[in-house]
Amino acid sequence: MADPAVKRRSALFEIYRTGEFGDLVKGKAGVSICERHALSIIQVAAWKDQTDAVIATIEVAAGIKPSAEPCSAISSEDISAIWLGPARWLIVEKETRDLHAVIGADVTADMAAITDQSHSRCVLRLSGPQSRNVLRKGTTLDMDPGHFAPGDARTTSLFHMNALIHCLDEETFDIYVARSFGQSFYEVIIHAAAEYGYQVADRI
Amino acid sequence: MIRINCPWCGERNMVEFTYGGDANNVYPGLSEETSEKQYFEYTYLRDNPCGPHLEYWHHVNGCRQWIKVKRDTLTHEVIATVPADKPVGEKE
Repeated sequence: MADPAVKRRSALFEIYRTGEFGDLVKGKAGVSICERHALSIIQVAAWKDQTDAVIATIEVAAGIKPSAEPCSAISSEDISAIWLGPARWLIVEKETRDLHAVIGADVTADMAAITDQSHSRCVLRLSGPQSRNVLRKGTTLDMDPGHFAPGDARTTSLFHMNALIHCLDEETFDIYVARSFGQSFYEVIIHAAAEYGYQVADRI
Repeated sequence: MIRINCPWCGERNMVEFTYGGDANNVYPGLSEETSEKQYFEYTYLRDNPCGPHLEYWHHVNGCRQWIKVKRDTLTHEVIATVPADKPVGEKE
């Protein structure tokens, strides 16, 4: 966690404009977009044969129990544990405490590698009845609600960018891309959403 | 378009993967008995089979795992996929 006296600046600080845009159908936006900022994003990668111990320890340290099930995400109201690969997760919450230190206090260096990714991601939340259609334009994943359901999280190529897509409910997705792709990503999303009409809301 | 069944993530489009080379190619090792000829063959020589072929792929836009794929080079049929450290069939 950075010095609390230094205000974190979003990757989208120059281009993020709230309001309603695009082809609004009867004045209503089909997609709502908001940036999730500032987040604490910690990657935990368990060493060989440490997976079970790391899962149990994260549960005690951070209050969320990651799942070893591929392409899954466990969420409570405040915090999520998203599967990235075998024995590798992203632990995400709104930045209120030094999550890296909280996890690192219990998950020791001989159990897992813990990396603070908070400053290296740009995260957008897409919601609304057309959110799946926006994503369909950029990925080869099956976006049918029966195949990509709430609690699923998939890493894929989205508009030619490596992206992690976390389905929160039928119409709501959190999408993580590398910070340096943030502006391109935001622009391609608003272009894809323009035909449905979109609202850009305040950061959450 | 080739669809590859990642052992972790399930069936995904090949755009998520990068090709990682011939999985039949065995590193000759660094012992003094290893000849220059063996290194030359390891470095440069590959078969160009028509039919089932064993190859490495990296799920780079996914779970980032290396996998072994048995693929028919003629039809592009993906016959089997396993984690890179596991054998594909009894033969290996």
